[in-house]
Amino acid sequence: MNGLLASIQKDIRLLIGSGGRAVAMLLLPILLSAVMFFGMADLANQRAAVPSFPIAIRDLDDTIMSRMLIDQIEDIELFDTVYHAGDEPDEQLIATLGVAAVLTLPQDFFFSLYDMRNYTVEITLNANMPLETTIFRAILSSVMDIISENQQMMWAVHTLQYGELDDAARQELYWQASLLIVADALGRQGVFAPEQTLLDDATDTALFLYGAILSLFLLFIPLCILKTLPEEMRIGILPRYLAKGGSLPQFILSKGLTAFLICFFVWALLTALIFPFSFGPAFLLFLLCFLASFAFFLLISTLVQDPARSQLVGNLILLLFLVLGGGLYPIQMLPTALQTLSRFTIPYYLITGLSGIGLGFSTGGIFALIWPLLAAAFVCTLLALLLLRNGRYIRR
Amino acid sequence: MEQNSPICTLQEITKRHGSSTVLGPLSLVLRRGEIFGIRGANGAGKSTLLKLIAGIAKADSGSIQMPAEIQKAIGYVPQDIALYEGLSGRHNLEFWAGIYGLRGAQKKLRIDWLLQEVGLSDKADVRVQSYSGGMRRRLNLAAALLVTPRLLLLDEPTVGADVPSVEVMLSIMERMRKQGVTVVFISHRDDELERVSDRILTLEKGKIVALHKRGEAR
Repeated sequence: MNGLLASIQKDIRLLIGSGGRAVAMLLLPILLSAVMFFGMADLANQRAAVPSFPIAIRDLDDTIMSRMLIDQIEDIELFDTVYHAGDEPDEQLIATLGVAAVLTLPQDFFFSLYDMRNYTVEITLNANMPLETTIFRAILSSVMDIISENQQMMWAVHTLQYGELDDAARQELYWQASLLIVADALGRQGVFAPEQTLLDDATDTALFLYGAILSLFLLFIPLCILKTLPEEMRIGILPRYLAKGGSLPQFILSKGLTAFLICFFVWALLTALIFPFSFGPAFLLFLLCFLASFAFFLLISTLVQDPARSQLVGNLILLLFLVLGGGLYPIQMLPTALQTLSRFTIPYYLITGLSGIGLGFSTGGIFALIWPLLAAAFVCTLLALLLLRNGRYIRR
Repeated sequence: MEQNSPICTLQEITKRHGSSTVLGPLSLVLRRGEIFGIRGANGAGKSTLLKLIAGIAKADSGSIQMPAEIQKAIGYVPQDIALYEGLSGRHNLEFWAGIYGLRGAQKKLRIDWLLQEVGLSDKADVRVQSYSGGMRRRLNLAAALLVTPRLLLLDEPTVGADVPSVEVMLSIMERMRKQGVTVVFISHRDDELERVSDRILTLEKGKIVALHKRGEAR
């Protein structure tokens, strides 16, 4: 126990020092929070507010419902221009106007939904605007699904009420019902509610900045604590420690506890200031991210025996994690190929977990999102201890 | 335990690295209250022998017999300066004192006394980074003396040290001997060995080529 306390004290002194350095270290998270809020808020807003883009709509249905739909779409700020397309080919519209998508509502489209005939909208997407086309498809699918379900429901109700309908009766009932159905669908679609969108933007921005700052500390603190390990192995401190009856797990545990105490302080400070989450899910998220980070940098410090190189490798990995994992920039801003690498970074899981907390997931639900961190922590710790036990610290 | 009584007996010990034998077979007896010097060319097995006695390395064959009270009171000064450059001299000693189990006032007193013994009281709160080679060697020695050892093992403690630092360290060794501590130290300098050692062992390619008392011809 004495050895453990002495080791913790040593690691804290190495990291923080005393006097001015200690004060600077403790103030750093607060200063960083302020800098990031003022400096990165615009960048963070891009995560929830994609730059507006143009689309084109070809309305062959030409009914009140289709015109209502188009009017509503034109009111969405996300679409900076809604072109009314004519007979020109979709590819030509995309090439000349630079639209993200061309939507064609075929003739009798809304009636076909009511009448259970299989008419579908046609969409031509701009392959050079993947994010915008994804968003557009998501919005349109959501609206159309609601309209389709409601119309089918109305047809079923009318059939029950009036029995088999002839064409004239069907047309009249269709007109009565459809206006109400379209209005209902458009009202229920959240994207058309600007107040809710703004509220979500603000929440998302705060979540992103909180995640970005916490990512930085959860990577930086363990790296700083563990950067002394190669030197301790190289200059004989670890062998001397073991010769005096110390144990390897105790040596590593002292570093872990030191890193944990400092990270916990930062986490508690940031969480109290920015996001008073419910404790269970928030602490689980913090704990797993910390364990994964510490275990990973422990393995790096064991593998890279040169102290200077270990620091360099650690810094590079930290930067890569922040960039690829969404700690500095929203992941959506990365090229698609790099986005797939995000899943191998700790900030990715931190931000995913924060999103889950923001959506009210339970502790179990959060764990389901971030369990790979626990697996990574286990594997990295095991490998590092095996390497150390096999005498990697003994300088020959 | 009487002066000159055996405190450590090495019986036919051997140490291998891969397929080559770096030390032994070798037999040796260390006695209480003596300064036992070891010399030899690089790769002769001197540091390996010290590590085997300290218990840091394990012999591949043979045995090392040592009373339990001696085993618990081994002070080992490695060839490397096993100190944190980012900490002050005092903080380094506080760390090692904690590892050795010293606490409270006893720890503070011991540290203050050692810093005075090795002549570093005025530099105690300065980072080791700014110490000279000799100062680092002295602090390295002080770390091994935090708990009064019964057996003190020093691996080339004077390498890179200035003359005053060498004098301090040799004086400490002589004081240890008077207190009944057995000192085993490795040096490349014959004048240091001849000055303080009671017996001098010469190793070559892992084997004993000479063992003589101070003043005797090799």
